[in-house]
Amino acid sequence: MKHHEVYHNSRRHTLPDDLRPLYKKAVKLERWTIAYIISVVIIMYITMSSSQAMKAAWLEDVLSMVPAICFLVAGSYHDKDPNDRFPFGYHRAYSIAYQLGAFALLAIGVYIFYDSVSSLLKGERPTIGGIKVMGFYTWKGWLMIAALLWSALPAMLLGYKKINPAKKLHNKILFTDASTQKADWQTAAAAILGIIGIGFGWWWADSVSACFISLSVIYDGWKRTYGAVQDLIDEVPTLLETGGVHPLVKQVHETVTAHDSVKDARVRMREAGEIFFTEVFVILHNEDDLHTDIQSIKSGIRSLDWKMNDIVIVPVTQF
Amino acid sequence: MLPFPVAQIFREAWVYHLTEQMTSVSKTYLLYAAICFTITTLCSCGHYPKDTQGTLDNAKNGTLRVGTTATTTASDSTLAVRFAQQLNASVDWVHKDQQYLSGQLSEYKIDMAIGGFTEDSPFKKIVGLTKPYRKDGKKKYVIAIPKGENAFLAKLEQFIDTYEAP
Repeated sequence: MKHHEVYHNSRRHTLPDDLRPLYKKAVKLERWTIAYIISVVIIMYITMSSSQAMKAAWLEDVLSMVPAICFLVAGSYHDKDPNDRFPFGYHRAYSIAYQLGAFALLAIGVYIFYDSVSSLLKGERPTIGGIKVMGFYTWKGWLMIAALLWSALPAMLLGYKKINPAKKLHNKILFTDASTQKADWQTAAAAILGIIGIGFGWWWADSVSACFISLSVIYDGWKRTYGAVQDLIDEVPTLLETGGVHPLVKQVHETVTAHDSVKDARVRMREAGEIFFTEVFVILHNEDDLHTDIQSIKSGIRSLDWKMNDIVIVPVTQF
Repeated sequence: MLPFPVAQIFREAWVYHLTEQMTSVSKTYLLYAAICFTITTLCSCGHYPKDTQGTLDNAKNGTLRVGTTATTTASDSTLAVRFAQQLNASVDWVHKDQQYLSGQLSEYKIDMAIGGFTEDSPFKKIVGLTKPYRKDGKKKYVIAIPKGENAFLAKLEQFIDTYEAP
């Protein structure tokens, strides 16, 4: 296609000034998150030995790096302007890896479930010995519990810190990352209880707790995959927390119909990353000042929110 | 950025008297502290970890059932005898091959088997293995025990740590 045939309606994404430091803070937190998770993966791998529950928690932790990496990588794409090959821009760069990560999570959850149930049915009894720590013979179970605590407590703190920036930036990846990190204590607590159970001689405690962990991973993976699908089929913009329709949709309609020259209007919107793509179909009272009217409608919508990036206004005679 | 804001927890607990005004982060930290405390008190009474089949308790002051193979050396047998002495138990010897002994271990019919078992033993799916008690060049020899007998394993490994081959 020749350049003069393509129109780039949206600009590259630029955050308003008051949100920029928040974004920088989010980037810093995500970098810390990745470094921290790498440390968790290494420590847990060393102490894992024959615990099913720990294996489950470890797999979940490995995958928890995906949203953080997505966020940082996609961040660099965000600064790119739309071009002829990608006239709609790179706003959706976030979604792709996120969707893959969501599906991977679901698949891993199913695998862990199968693995833990089969080991439970086979009656596998974890044999956990000891190791010399600073001259004292220590049961490896204690080391596992320590590793699990390290995998949970800082995660909770990080998640807690990231949740507010995520909400303000309307960033789905950051939000999912933050809320799963906040809930990380549940997985670790289940695994710890499993190991304590082994210590008490209840060999099944480990497989049962791995089973519970797998169910929560499956639930998470399913929710995210479903969310990714909704995103793919252009669902109307939603609120991060509740999933309800974003109030901006109604606001756009109200703003447009309040305009003097507009008789009636219909709106359809969709999300691309944090940006909203809007298409407005208007019936005007008369078409004398068509271009001025359309321009003022457009700037009226744009001024509503920083997320209103791509706007198309179409004058029609009927709906 | 400390992962354990201890001062924050204590300050909030004191000021808000453990009410809902504490942040959820501090509450969860306290929950963990409570779990740790409970664990320590629970485990300080009685032997921890425990066996699933009571191997250690059965062997103490009773009989230690030891399996040997054709590759069991004299020093291996001495190790077993010394261990039994520590448990104040007499020794019941079962002499066969690794496959038979592994089967016996998996059915909890013997307590340990010593003789040619290494860390990458093909039987490690059905038996538990201790840490190496002897190194011979590249080979590391271990003792096979029944799976899930963590108390027995701990006792045996601690014995291995202090044992010096004569």
